[in-house]
Amino acid sequence: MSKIVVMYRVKNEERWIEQSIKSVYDFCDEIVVFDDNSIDNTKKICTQFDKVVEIHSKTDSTFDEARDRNLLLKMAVKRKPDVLLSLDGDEIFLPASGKIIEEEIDILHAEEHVFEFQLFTLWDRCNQIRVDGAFSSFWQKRMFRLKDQPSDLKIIDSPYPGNFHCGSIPSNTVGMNNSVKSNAKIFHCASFDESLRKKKHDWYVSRDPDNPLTDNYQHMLGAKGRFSGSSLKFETIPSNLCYNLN
Amino acid sequence: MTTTILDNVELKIIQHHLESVSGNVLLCSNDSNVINFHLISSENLQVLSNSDKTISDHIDNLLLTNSLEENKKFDTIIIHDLFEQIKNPELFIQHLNSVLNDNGTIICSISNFSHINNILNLLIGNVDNNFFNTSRFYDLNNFLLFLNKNNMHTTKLTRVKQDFSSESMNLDDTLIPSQLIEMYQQIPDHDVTQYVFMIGKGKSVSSESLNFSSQFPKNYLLPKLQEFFEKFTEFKDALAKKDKVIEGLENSIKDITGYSGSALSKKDEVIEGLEKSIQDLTSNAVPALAKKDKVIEGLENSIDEQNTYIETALSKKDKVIEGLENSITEQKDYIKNLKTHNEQLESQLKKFKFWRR
Repeated sequence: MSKIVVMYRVKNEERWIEQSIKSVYDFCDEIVVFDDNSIDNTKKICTQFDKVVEIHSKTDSTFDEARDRNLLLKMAVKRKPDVLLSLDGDEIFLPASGKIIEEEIDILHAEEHVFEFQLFTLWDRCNQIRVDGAFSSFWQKRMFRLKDQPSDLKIIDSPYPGNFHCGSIPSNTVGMNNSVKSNAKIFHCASFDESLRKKKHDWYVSRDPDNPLTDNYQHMLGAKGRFSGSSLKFETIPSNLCYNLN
Repeated sequence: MTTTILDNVELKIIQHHLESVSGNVLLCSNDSNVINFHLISSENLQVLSNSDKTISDHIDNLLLTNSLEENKKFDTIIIHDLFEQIKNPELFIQHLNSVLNDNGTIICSISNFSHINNILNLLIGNVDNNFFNTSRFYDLNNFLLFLNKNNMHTTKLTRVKQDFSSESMNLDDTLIPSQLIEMYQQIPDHDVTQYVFMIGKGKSVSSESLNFSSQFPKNYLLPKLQEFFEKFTEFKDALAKKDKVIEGLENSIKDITGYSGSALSKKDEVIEGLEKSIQDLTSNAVPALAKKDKVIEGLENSIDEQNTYIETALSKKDKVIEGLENSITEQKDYIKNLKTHNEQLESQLKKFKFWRR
């Protein structure tokens, strides 16, 4: 069995973090956390899990996502894992994902290096995901095997302010161009409520205004912009695959 | 499909497996090479093949009818080069599952529908290819779903690979863009022709989770195509901008050409005028020069004459000078004689004065 270390970057995630850690608890071996100045109970919740082996509390108030993720990467690599999985505090694997991931790592794709996951954007309800436009196929590379990787693994700076959208795993990871798409799925909770959506949208727009690449993040608010469908479209999650997140 | 590589890999897996287990073996295959391959002593081996009519071609019929002894169980079931031909695979696998011991293993090879050659054959419309003559098409994902639905799981997976070669496919380089081929080559398992599954009883993953996941296609190629078209659109926009710049430059060149044309024609007129002027000057200059030549000739003659006159005059002067010099010499001699005579006279005078005193 491969040793799996999950690396979390969190900031004020008390609403989701417990369920998020529970969703990886069964299949991961250790968890490392990079806390970005949380002022809620996020850190306290993390410490309640015995697999959380290190929590780094950021003291610097400047925002640099690539710098922080590289520090988190170092923390995780120190644990000598076979496989590294990157997750944010507002992301939760669907029930039974552990078995799927273990089977994919050890049996079905034992030679592949990078794995990507589809993110389901929860919208207004625990059993409702948005599936119009780019939301229908939102995949991100989040997991990689440490074997055969270069010693200088690094998340490089992005062209965005504060290096956001820099990616969750190093860009020089072997296998980045032919990653395997996992059957395990992740709920993304950052757009759950209208207030959260507006807050997130305002945060991005204030730091990255009038960027044609993101179409000014209009899709975050509703069926607007080129990353949205012509109207909002949703899919219902079967009740036994949902969490109570209200 | 029967290839040497496949047979070797598959047979190695089967051989390796059989070396570590014992018990009854059921071999389901239509490939006589495999059937005749002595994997195990014949007393423990039972073979099912269509050549014996033991595997039915008809969905409605039982698949393995009357071929197996009642209550006989197997430790290993080998399904070789056959599964894609089975018209009702659910019934087939369920039947095999029912004759498999609890800890038994099914070894099953599956042709990968998503192999790059198949996808390219579809793209170019080559559906007469042998691969497409099977009843069902499988890839890794849908076969895993199939196993899960039938309460089975994979214990080991081996891939048989074959690299893409446009030559072996007789592909014209111009028929399919190389960029599309390169994109497809980045997709995992694009080069896998055959999966060899080792299968055990029971589910490893809940069906609900897998079934729900399967509703969302993985779309390996589309995101890459999307990236390609985004880049293509960028290039197209960039080209449109360049075209505008070129158009502006062309207009500018036209303006310059028009201006240059009129400027050149004016210059031609000026040059023509200058040429005429030169011609006029030339025509006036020739007789003037002839006159000047005559003047020069006259002057030269005059100089010659002057030289001759001067030479003659000088010669005469020389003679006068010579005469004068001779005259001076004579005068000097005369003066000298006078001096001598004077001295003599003075001497005589002195003598005379002495004698008078």
